Amino acid sequence: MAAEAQATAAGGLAGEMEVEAYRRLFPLAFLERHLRESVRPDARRPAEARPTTVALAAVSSAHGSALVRLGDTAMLASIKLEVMSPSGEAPDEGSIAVEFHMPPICSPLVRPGRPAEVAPVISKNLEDILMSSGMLNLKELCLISGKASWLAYLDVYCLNADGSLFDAALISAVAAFTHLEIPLVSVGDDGRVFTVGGNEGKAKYELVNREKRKLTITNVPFSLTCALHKDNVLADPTAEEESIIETSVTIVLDSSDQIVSIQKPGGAVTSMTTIKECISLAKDRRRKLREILMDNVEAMEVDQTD
Amino acid sequence: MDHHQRWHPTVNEREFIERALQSDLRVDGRRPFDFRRLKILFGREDGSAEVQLGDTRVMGYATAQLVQPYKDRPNEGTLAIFTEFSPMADPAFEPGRPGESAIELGRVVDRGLRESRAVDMESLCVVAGKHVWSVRVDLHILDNGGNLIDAANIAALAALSTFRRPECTVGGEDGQQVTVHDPEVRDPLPLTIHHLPIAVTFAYFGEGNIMVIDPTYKEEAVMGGRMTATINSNGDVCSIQKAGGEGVMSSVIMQCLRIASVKAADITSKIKNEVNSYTSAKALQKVKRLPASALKKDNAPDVAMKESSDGALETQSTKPSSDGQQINKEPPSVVEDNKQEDVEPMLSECNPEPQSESRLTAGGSDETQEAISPKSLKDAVKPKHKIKKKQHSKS
Repeated sequence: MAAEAQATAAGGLAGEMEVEAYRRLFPLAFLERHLRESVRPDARRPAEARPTTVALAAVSSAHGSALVRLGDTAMLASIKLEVMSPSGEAPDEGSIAVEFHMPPICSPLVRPGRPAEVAPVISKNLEDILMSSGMLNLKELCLISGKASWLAYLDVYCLNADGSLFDAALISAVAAFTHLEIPLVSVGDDGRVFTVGGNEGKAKYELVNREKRKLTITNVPFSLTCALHKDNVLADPTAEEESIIETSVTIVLDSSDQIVSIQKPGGAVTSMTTIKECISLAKDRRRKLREILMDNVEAMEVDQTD
Repeated sequence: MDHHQRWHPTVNEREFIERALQSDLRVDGRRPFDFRRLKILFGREDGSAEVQLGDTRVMGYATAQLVQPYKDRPNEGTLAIFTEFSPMADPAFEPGRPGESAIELGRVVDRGLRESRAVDMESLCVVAGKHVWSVRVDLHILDNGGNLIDAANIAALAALSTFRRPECTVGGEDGQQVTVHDPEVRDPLPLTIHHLPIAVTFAYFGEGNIMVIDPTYKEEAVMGGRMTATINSNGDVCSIQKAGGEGVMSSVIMQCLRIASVKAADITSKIKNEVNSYTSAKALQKVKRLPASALKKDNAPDVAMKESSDGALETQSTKPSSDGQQINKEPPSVVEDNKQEDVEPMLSECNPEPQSESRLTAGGSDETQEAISPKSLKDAVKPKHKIKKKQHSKS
């Protein structure tokens, strides 16, 4: 009996090893074999995204932060506010500086001392979308018109890269801005603006803003990346799927389902119906992500009142 | 959107452009979905093309050289696209480090062409893992009149369509020796182009409700956002680029893609017509020339020859190489002594003094074809002094 069980276990292990070897040696054939059954290697349906979790206030030292997990992809976004002189072009507006970091810890493909090629591309896209989607009103970051305004440093750290990096980075950036609290500031006799901490500070100094406040966030953008392989549209691809499939489409939608950004960076040619399918998947995904974010914000508010 | 623009509109100018667009009018008199006048000119050399799209002018120049392939793709050649923005084209373009717009232009054209596999890379392989052709397309912005992406894309396609790479053969004892043949000895080979990906740029105005094709630099200064769709004549989407800008309804995006596919078909046929007329004009100009080695007696021919028993010349085949690659070179045509005097004037006649490189001949213009092409191929080959003799005898 024991010998029989041992043999079965050995057979199962051998079979498992064979599958793993096949997966490594013929990744495309392995994927296609799954797609014939309308399933993916990680047991998802082609149009199904990975489970997403958002944790606000992940970094206590930052003014706003969020940790996002998109399957195995993990992103940490943190916002630090600094007082600066506004530009002459927009004296009553603050500004944002976006930086996306990919440390060697996030992927074996990223080597120490050599920045990942994709990092500056994601930084640029993030900044473009945050600025052009109308999510933030930069006038809210103004302290004293023409003299002082806030500069928000948004740093997004990729802790684990397992595909759909831009999607995860955008969710974490949006979540960090929803959590962002603008601190109390005061103007000194010499005209310098400085932050004030605690109740003592409130009593001692004349404050520019009476209480800590949050930014008014409207038109929140969310994105979905789809990998395109033959007639299959794979929503939210993993790193393994991205390495096999060259073609992808990234769609960013705002709260009113308008397309803020759509990018298909080369790859194999695709039909217009496929693009249409990607857009409809992105719309569904946006609604789900909005719900996830709202639930987390509400839970955070409940915790604070308690 | 680029912050460095050569024209900063006033409030009135901005309002005027937007109001006109609401009435389906554009500053230059076009309708919303009209391209400006497209003109494609080809240079004297293969692989050189200049595109004029309204006031926008871009020059494309394709070159190739033998290089070692990438290790992960040993049997594929390479295609690289380089852009050069000179301050001559637009005062906003500063010399030195390429700006954001220069990088974006290069990337969008590169995505559309290279990543959609428009050019067959495997046909550029000479010896797998050792020698492949590396094709380089240089795009020079000569004048920025708006919508550089579309003009640059057409310039790159036109340059690649007329580009010819030298023919080369593999031989030697190890079968790895590559001989690149002179264009005079063997006709250069064109690239294998599977499809022509055409970039069509849309500009959005008035919260994304108004859209126009092929924006001028004035419209670019006012637009709220833009999208570039690269589509081939079959309606396949090669690439899409809409990075930020005003939000647009998904139905509008789909409408843009449909319009782009129609425009892509038009531009494809235009490029093909221009390329065909250029190649036919080039073929009429071309005269079979004898290699210089054949004219000089003392020069030994390329291929060793032995006389067979029946007196005919027989080409000695090269020894079969170790890996089975065997190359037989064609023997050059041998010229008899009594024809030598006829050959020299023919060569000098067929090769007039080369004109300045900068002069470009329009691929499609009838006047140039008439000027270039002789009445028949016989007339083109006939030496000058023979024609004169005929005229004397007639008189």
